[in-house]
Amino acid sequence: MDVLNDLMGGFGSAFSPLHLLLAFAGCTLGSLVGVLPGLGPATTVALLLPLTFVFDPTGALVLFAGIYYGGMYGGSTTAILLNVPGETASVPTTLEGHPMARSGRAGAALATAAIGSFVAGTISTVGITFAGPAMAQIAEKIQPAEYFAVMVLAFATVTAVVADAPARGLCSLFLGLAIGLVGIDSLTGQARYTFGVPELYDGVQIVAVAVGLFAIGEALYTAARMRRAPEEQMLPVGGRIGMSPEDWRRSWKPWLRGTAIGLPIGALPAGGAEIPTFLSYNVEKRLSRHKKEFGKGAIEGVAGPEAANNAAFSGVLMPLLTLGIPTSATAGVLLIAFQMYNVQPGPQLFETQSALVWTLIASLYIGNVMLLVLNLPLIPLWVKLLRLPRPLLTAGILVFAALGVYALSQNAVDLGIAVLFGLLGFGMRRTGYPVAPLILGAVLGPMAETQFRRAMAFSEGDWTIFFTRPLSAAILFLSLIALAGPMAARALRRNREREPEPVG
Amino acid sequence: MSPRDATANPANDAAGAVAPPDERPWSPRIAALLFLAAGVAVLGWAFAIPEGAIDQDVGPRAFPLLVGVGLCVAASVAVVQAFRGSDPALTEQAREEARLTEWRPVAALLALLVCYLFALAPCGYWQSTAVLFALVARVLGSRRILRDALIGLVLALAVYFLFDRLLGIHLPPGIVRLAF
Repeated sequence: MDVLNDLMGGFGSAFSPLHLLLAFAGCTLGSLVGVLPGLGPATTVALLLPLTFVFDPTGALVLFAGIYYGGMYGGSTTAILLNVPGETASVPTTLEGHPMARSGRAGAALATAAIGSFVAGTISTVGITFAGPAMAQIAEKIQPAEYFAVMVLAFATVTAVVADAPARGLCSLFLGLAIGLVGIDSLTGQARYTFGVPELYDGVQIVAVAVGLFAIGEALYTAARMRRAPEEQMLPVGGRIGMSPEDWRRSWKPWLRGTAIGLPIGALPAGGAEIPTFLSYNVEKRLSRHKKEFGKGAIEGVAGPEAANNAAFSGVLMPLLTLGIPTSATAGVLLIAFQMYNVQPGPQLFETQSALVWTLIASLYIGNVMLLVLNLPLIPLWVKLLRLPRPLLTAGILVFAALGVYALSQNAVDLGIAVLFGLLGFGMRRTGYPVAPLILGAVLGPMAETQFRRAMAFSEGDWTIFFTRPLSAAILFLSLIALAGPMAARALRRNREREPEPVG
Repeated sequence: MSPRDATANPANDAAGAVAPPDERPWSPRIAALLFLAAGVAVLGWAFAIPEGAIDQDVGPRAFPLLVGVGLCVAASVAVVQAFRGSDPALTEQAREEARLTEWRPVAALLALLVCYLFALAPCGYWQSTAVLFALVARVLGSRRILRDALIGLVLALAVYFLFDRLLGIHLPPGIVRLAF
């Protein structure tokens, strides 16, 4: 009952004209920017970070919840019409949604993605409402050693999921951790990796890192390939936007299954959205009565993964709010938004910032409805947006990226840092290094170090504490499996492929 | 620029020499070596951090050492993999990237951004932003400079007005102050 009372209070605040307006603005901005090719949810949130300078914390987080959801909606539009997945979790949507669009069924694909996201988002928000406070209570009892172990698990899974090769993912992660080290050590006041540059005493501005890696890196990538890479062909939206009764019949079960797969995996401290979307795609492929259509535009292959994607993304908010641990690049950028307001998500958040949390959760419900109402009729408008000339689009992205970074401290140093990270992001993308582990390492690193040192102080310097406490040891073991598992699977597959050769 | 560019052997101007088609591109090896260099630097500078009070179990140096060792180990594995070419998918990706990459616009874009960050304070926000927009569009292949300049100017003024005047985020006014 407590939960319902809190939620009602949250709705009371979320329904205030200002917060409604902010939720609306967030959803619109998020979809608008998210639709633009090349801009996934992480980039969208990073680009719009400067907006946080303007509002009070609650208002800003309501705005960002809208941007977060809107960015995800927008991503499915580009996946379906342009065959461009904003991030790995949108890949299944391109597999089925784009062929659907090619055969003139773009309207149905867009509709099942939007409605499926609404269904999944709403169910997941109910899940957050009831499980969130409970999870926070459990999290409160966690000791530093376990806390550190959970962060290691988050690092391990993000690294393993996004990287084809764990070594490159780990390089990215450790570089991020190193970036997090820059600045004055919070416990002893020692300057570390500052090289006497006063601007670095507060650490590298993480917003500059995020905007540089995502937005400026993307612009450089576009510039490098603009003449030689084939231009993505935009498909016209065929037919009306909506679903036939047959589409509904084939969609509703995948929506629910996708939600059931996405929510729990996303809510794990090691979640992320990649595993559940691909899992959902495989489940739908196996269960479908239209197996032959898969790869050629099966609506189940859009409905399931899109729902799983959205459910996982909502689920990601659970570890973010209750543990302060982001499990995807987008959540990492969202955590930056929190930290800019000195709001530190974690076990105490539900108690110390109760009003803020519940307004945020209530605005998630509202945002979901708004996006559905907003997006279906506005799809033709988004489609027009996709026709923006690429040079103007990139120029605009750079203008807003620079604005956001400059407005941080009104200092060109941060802009220089962002340009450097843009170059780094560009280089990493070209050579197969994922950037998500880097951003997570940079955001979470300082927290991980604090917990690490607390645990060590508790054990009086005994390194084995992480392995002698059963829970911590179990979580670390899981991390090892998460990292080594894909490697072992790949090695096994390679062996199996090799075996027949000597026989013949 | 000319339609021949697309059909000419792209390896020509990317590396400056004609590369035989079966040779592996260097970019993965260079990237892995750079990561290794970063790891060595992190580790080396970690030793320069003065340890705090003696009674602490873990000082400010321990975690940087951990990170430095981790980066070195991961990067060493990446170096070995890159030099042995044990990841055919990566080799293929790097070859594709090398084939599609033109360095001139990248360098031009970087130069523009660096000029922009130095021009911002003395020349003013909306002035430099309008120019940045138009020039970036041009570098990226837009040939309608007048239209781009106009869009850039409107965009820059709108941002300036919104953020500086309405939201109170100070942006440099530059030499020519606006009346509004």
